[in-house]
Amino acid sequence: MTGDGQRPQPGGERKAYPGAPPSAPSFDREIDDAVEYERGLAVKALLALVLVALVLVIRVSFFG
Amino acid sequence: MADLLLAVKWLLVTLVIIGGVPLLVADYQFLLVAFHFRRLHYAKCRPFFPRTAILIPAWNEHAVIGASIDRLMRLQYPLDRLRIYVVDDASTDATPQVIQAKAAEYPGNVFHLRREKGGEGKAATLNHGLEVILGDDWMQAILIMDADVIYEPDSLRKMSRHLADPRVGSVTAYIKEGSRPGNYMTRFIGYEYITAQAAARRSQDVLGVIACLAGGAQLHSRENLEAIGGRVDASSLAEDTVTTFRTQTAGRTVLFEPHATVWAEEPGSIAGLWKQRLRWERGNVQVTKMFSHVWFRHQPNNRLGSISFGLLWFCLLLLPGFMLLVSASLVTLWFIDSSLAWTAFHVLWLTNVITYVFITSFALLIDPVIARRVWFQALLFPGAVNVLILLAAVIPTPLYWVSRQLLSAAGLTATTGWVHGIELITYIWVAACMGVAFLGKVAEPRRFGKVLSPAFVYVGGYGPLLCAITVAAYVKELRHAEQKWDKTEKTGKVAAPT
Repeated sequence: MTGDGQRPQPGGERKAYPGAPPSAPSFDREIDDAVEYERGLAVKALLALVLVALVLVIRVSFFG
Repeated sequence: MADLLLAVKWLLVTLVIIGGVPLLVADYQFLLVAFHFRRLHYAKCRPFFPRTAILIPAWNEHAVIGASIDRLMRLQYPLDRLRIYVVDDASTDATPQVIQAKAAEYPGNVFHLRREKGGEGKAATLNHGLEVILGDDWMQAILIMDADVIYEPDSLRKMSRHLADPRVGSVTAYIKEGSRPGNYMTRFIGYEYITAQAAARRSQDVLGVIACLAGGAQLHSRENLEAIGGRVDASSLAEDTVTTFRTQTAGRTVLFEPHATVWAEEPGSIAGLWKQRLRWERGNVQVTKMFSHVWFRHQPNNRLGSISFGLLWFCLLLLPGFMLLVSASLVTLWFIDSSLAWTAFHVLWLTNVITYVFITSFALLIDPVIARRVWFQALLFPGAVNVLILLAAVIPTPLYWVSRQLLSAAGLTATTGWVHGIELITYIWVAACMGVAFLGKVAEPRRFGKVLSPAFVYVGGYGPLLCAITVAAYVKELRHAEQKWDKTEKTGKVAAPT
């Protein structure tokens, strides 16, 4: 994952965590998951803002 | 005379608007979280396992220390690169025996460091360990933690991967409240930690500056520790914040790794919370004075002096002052021009509605797992009365109708005098909620305290309770009250979800 959030080119060897148990995800996979989660927060912020807008619309439309 | 009165009115309205600044800053802080994905440090990470010394200060921790060591030995980290140093601060219980047994069980990994003279505080205990650990060149990184916290197996390696970038001096983790079964207080803290850690530290990451490495989860590179003097500050009550600031003023980056999770046992009573937070808040006041040269001033190698960070820091530190300012201004304005007071309050409270809805909903979405346990406390974080006023700002007509029905059922009529009286009480409540929440502390040890104390917190608000503690911290600091380390009692009730 690059600094501006771009994904690395496919085909590269996936790095693993040495010393980690076999069930542990690879390093790249773990980073991808973390970045996905962080991107998802932007969407969640948008949802929260939509809720705020909804509250304001209710206030203005029904209660002047 | 009329001009003077008009000037006073507008001055008071201005003060009410200024009182709304912390709300806007809180919104700004949470908006920054949405941009965290653009400031991630992962591009400079790689699997990285420096030889790490884990430093645990321990005073009378026999209930938790053995299990903590066992869990640390199960971290996903090469064991030949891990050493655990427990500094036993002249414990009077079975702590030394437990540590010695673990040292025998894990030879070469667990070390018992004993201080014969204890009680000098956490910083002195940590410095004892740091002196030993820095005494040889084995250690490449050091993890400072508390005796009771539970590290998720992958947490240390998720933190250490950032140290692959030599510019990074320290990394902290996401501390979550983990008391089980927990009670109303631990659930309030659970929600607070979403806002204060998961959200606030992400936004600070975006700004390129971290306010505080969690005391129970701070990983430092050796170079960083040596650059800041090889010791933690023992002159204040916020040694972790001082370390964080010093790391950044020395030109190194401090990072928050939100995906490294650490579970901590937090106070289950107001008395415990008060003791812990009074120490933290006094520490923050001390740090504010100690680093007075950085605030709102450009720093060549760090962002501590940025306007954004200064606003975040001072809005939180001065929040009780803002509440008192708004309350006093509105009450004064009520006597001069009650309709103008109502308009000013209405604008402020609609801003409050926006902040409340945005922050509460977004915070619960940030950590949905914790949110399932703490949603009720999240909704009542500002206090039941404040939530009712917020509702009245959004849906005034139905609530006025309910009020009239209630008054009518009690044989009363809603006269203009009544309405004005309620307005005045509402303005007073802006600050008085801190006092009501404080009553929870007063009631706790008394008869019916188990019922009354949570009731006061739910009515007055957990947020206002924290503000009341901040006020107490100011008072203690102004009076130069004795600065002692009141350790938070730990019972080992913390558990990571399976």
